[in-house]
Amino acid sequence: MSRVTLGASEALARFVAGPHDDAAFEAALEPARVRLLAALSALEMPNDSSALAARALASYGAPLRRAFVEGTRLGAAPVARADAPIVAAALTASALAGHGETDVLAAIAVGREVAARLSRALTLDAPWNATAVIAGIAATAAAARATGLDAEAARNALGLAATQAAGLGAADATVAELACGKAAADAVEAALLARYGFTAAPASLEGRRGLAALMGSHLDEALLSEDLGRRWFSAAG
Amino acid sequence: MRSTSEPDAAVAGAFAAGFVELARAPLPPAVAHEAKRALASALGLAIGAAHHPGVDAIAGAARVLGGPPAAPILGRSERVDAHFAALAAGFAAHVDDFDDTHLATVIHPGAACMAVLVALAEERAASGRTALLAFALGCEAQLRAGVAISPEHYDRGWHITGTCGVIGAAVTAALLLGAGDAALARAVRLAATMPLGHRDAFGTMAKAFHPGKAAANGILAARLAAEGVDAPAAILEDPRGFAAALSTRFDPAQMFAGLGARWELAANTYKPYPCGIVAHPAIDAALALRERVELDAIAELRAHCHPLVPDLMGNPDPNDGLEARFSAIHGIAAALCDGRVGLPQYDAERVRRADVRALRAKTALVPSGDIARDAARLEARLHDGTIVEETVAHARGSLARPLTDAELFAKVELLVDPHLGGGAGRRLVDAVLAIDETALDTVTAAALPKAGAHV
Repeated sequence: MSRVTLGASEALARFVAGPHDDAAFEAALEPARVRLLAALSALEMPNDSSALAARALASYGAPLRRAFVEGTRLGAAPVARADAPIVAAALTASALAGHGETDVLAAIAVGREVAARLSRALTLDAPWNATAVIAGIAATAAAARATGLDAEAARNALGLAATQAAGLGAADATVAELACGKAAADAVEAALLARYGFTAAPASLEGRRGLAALMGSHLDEALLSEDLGRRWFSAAG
Repeated sequence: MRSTSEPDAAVAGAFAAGFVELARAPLPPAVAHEAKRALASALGLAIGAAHHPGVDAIAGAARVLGGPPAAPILGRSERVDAHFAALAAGFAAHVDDFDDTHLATVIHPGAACMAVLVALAEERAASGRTALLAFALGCEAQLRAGVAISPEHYDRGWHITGTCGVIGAAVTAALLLGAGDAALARAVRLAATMPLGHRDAFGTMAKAFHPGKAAANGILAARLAAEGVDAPAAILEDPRGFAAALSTRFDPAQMFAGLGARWELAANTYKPYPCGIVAHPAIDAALALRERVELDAIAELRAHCHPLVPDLMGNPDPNDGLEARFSAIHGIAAALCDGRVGLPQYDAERVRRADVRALRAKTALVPSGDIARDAARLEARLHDGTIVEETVAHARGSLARPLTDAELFAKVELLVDPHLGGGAGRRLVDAVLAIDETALDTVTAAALPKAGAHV
């Protein structure tokens, strides 16, 4: 079996840029569709946190406010919580790009796969809520896919996501819900900044002063990128 | 033992209460003056970098994502919403690595807090006095938070200007937005859930994104706090909270003990030259030597310096601006050729020209453990055999020899005038110095191109 030679950040960026067109990818769209449908029903129901977010972000632009409010609303909905930032970022970024449902599903599938890979490969220090930290990066992968970034721009977007990945274990429910909204808005912002030429660390996950070194104890780069793009762990469950 | 159910007994509550108390009294005159220096410096740097490709990218994203225009991009004619104005200003003030530095923590406090002022100036129509207080207290809050987790935090690899910048920016934003005592405390607690900044970003635009996003996050925290949102009382000291996540050291008393008596902001310093700080004493010596020798007469130069100089800045013949920032020898050569060392001396074209190349080839670094970090001795051997020496005991811009007002404000003018026209830098400095008697947006207006000018 060939071992991986690409760094983790570069491997994820190339995966995000695609193309995705084989049967395994088609299979990964099905669970993405299930998640999207659950999210769309959850989005019908405003809650306290998303109402607070909508008021606090009254002066923000419509796309960032939408991503933030919808991410928060999904973060407060038990059926949608796990993928809240990914789905919210995919919806806003796809709408900005003028894309339809097929591309929303592809963005969700890509984001969920990045989350699944990071969950397997990355061990974070105890103070961090791993799900929240990973969700921010996965949401940026979804936004980058929906924005149609090439591998270099996707790597820069993921770099911006890594350097601002947050999620303290001490957060309470309200803070955690709002953090889902913030992660979605940050993801859309990172994708657009990268599209306009903004640069970030090329090895933001595995670098000497990168996410894994600062926030974690272990990153298995081989596990992260093994069969990436050919095998979809996110489609298994 | 601190109770987690009593907000005021927890660290964030005590910290916020200390800043609420500070905000009730006028700033001591010396602190107010230091805050004006930091503000003028940050505004000047942001104008100097107004056309950096990173600012272009932020402006591009703002066109797609931004809300109704509410604030300027400094030094440019575009207007954006407060979020993107904060992002752009904080980014631009840090991107040239030429901003203020609090040496004990390595925090550059001015960028994020200045960016909050720029973003909210019009929305709040704040008085200059309120704005300066909000800026000074935001800087102090960043530095106090930084001291409490230093040096382990930065040493592990965090960019402290981002991680602690969020807390300072939240204090500035809350004060500017007119938050009550409880809302300011909520803003601090929420900001502690939004830290950012890995040092792996160094060498890319993401480094300067850190103070920009810190400013934007600070504003977000203050806006959420104004709606009544809060984070857990013990968010700073919780075993799964801010300090435990970001450092192996946490000395909470550093955050609130002696507030008002001891000002970390008073120890803020300013770089005279846009390159690594260890090369600064040798550059000082070169500027002095230039007054005494003809360049054509120099046969050889020996720069006696601290061993860190060749270690960190040993590149003898750089080929572009970034390489030149890590070349003490280029700094010496540029000082001798141009009589000043500012951003133009680090343009790639300037770095490659024959005159500095020739002088660099004649220059050697001579490290010695006997020379202090802020000292240097430059020795020129002339073609006729004469030796001319210049010794610098303390570099300009060091704690022992802070930049004077005249030196700092001249630096601001050199940054601003090429973008906004002759006299604009001086007008900006004058507006900042008179901030107590005017409105905040009068000051930010001095950081913009004249109406009708297309910049």
